[in-house]
Amino acid sequence: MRVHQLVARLDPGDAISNQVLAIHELLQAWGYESRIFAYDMDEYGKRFAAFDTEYRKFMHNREDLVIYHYGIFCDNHKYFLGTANRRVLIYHNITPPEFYDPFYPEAMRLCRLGRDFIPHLKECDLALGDSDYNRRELVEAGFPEEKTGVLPINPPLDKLDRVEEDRAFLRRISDGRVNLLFVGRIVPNKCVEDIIKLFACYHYGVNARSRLLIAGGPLATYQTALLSLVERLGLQERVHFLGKVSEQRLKSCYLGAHYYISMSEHEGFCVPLLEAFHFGVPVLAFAAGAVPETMGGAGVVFEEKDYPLLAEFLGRLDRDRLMRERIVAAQYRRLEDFRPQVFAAKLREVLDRFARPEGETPGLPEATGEVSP
Amino acid sequence: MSLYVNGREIDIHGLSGLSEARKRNGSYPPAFLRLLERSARDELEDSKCAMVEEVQELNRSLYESGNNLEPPPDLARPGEKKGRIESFLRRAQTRFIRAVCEGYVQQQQFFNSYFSRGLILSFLQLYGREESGEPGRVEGWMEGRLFRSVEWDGPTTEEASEKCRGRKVLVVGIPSLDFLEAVREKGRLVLALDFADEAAAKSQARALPAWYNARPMDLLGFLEDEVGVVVVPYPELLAGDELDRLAAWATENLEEGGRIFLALNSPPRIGLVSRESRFRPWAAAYLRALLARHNLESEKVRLGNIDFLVGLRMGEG
Repeated sequence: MRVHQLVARLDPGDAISNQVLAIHELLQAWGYESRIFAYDMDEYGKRFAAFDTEYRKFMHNREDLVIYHYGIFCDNHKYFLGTANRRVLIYHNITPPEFYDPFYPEAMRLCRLGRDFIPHLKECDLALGDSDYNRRELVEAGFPEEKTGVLPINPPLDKLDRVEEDRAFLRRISDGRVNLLFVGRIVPNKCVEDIIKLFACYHYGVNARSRLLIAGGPLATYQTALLSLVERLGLQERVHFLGKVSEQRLKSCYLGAHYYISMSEHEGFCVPLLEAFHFGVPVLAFAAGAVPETMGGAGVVFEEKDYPLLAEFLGRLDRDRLMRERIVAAQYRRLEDFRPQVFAAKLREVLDRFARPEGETPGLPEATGEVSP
Repeated sequence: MSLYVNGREIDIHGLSGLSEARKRNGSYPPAFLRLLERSARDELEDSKCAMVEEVQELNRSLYESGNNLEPPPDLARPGEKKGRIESFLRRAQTRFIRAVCEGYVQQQQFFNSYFSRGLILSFLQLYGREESGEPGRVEGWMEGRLFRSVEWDGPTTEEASEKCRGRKVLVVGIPSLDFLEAVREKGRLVLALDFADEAAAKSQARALPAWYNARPMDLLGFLEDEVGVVVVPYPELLAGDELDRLAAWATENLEEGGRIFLALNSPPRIGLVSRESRFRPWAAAYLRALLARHNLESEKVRLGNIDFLVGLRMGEG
């Protein structure tokens, strides 16, 4: 069987691209003919993918399977809608447009288009969310519940294990100060300003020997606002915007971090939480979107942003080694659910359904949120 | 508020009590708490980066006039075979605007890093250590030199804190934790500022309101209420403009009859602060002139083992 994956962009580092590549790798290992088609890509992406126009020549084949990764509005949806291939949608979620107001009007427009378009994709054979939160959004958008399921993201944690950390950077941040870390795009739904506010309370009230590291590519207007807030709070020296970092530096960030903080108000999955789990960094995360589901009962979750109180909790964690160890142990246990073998088994289930004789309706995963027999 | 650790809700009463206590003891002044209410949108509107604002305004105008900055993903027109050129040009235009925008932010960061590093290297060269070590290590080394200071002894602590009895007190430069605790006991410690984060952290661990900043004067804006006493144990570690800002702030914010105490550290003490520090040997006459320039009457007093120049704010009459 030929399996095609259609995606808007294929770049290194982002969660969707990693998911695409993980599937591609498994498909090839299992002997499938696997191809990736992207609307746009960088030099890295070109090593794996062709432009989506190339997909046209496979569209008529009813035996093929196409997996459409939907995480932003992109015109290649027309290939997915017009194909004769059997169709699987993987929904990675789209940020509600209001988050981008007034920072990026064009992103607002694309997010609105993207979310409005979700119901048009429901004529597929199978619709998967990479979290149950995303699956429920599909159901709310009109997808028949019995046609939906969950295929969790396969975080490429081993990739970070294989790279060597940026030692000079790690030495710089391992100077006895407590490092709070956030990793992700610097965009409004991540509410990085709330992380800065929590850090301000921690730094001014609980532990002056501390710094905040923010690693991720910025949306310029939003970062401008954040820089302004940092200046107003007098924290210029202790809040470090690292920009989009290399894998080596990212690994150093995790190795040098004492806590990982997420204040995001909209997440479809949130891979950095699992990366922090992997490196034994206690995670404190605001319960929004798919975050509680990804945390899976590990780490620290809170439902209200009471910055002074959370700062005190960080202070308590500083002192309470036992609690820190318990948190890290639970996080490691949670990671077991995201082992590559688990992901491979779930992907296999999906493919096996489509390997049935032509004409037979593929069995669909139960609406429990898991792809199951 | 609910807080879950490994899926189990924990009792937050203790944490809540601690955070309330910090609010009461002044660790979070009202002006600071108000900043916690500000959104990123508020910041964008009041942003100080005028150039970015301009670009944002340009973005918005273009968008509102129907010029979508990000062209629709279908770059080809109907019936057009290789019609991506026009869209490509529009996309290039967008990217240029975005590049200006992002480049500005990044340049600012690069400049800051470059400037800081330049400063550190100059410092090392000035004091004969020309090796260019790791920045973290260099900073650690600098701190060891810069912020090694003499703690106040018992008599000085006792007599200086006595001057704070019943008063609201600002301390610029932490001379010892004992002094801060004595001030808290006898009066009300509004805030202690220091440019050594270790001193501030030690104070915070004892629930004393202490803030770190490499330029402590930048934090004075958070203090809105008048204070009765300002204590400056190491004026020689403040730059001229910082001293001037502090004196100006004191003139505005000292209660009637309030006082500012500037320690006149004697040469042996100065020597211990370190020749390699950013120490500036301010003469007593200079400090007196500074206070006079800000309409503060000055007198010299001895508290314990240290001489102080005391600036007194007189009533309007």
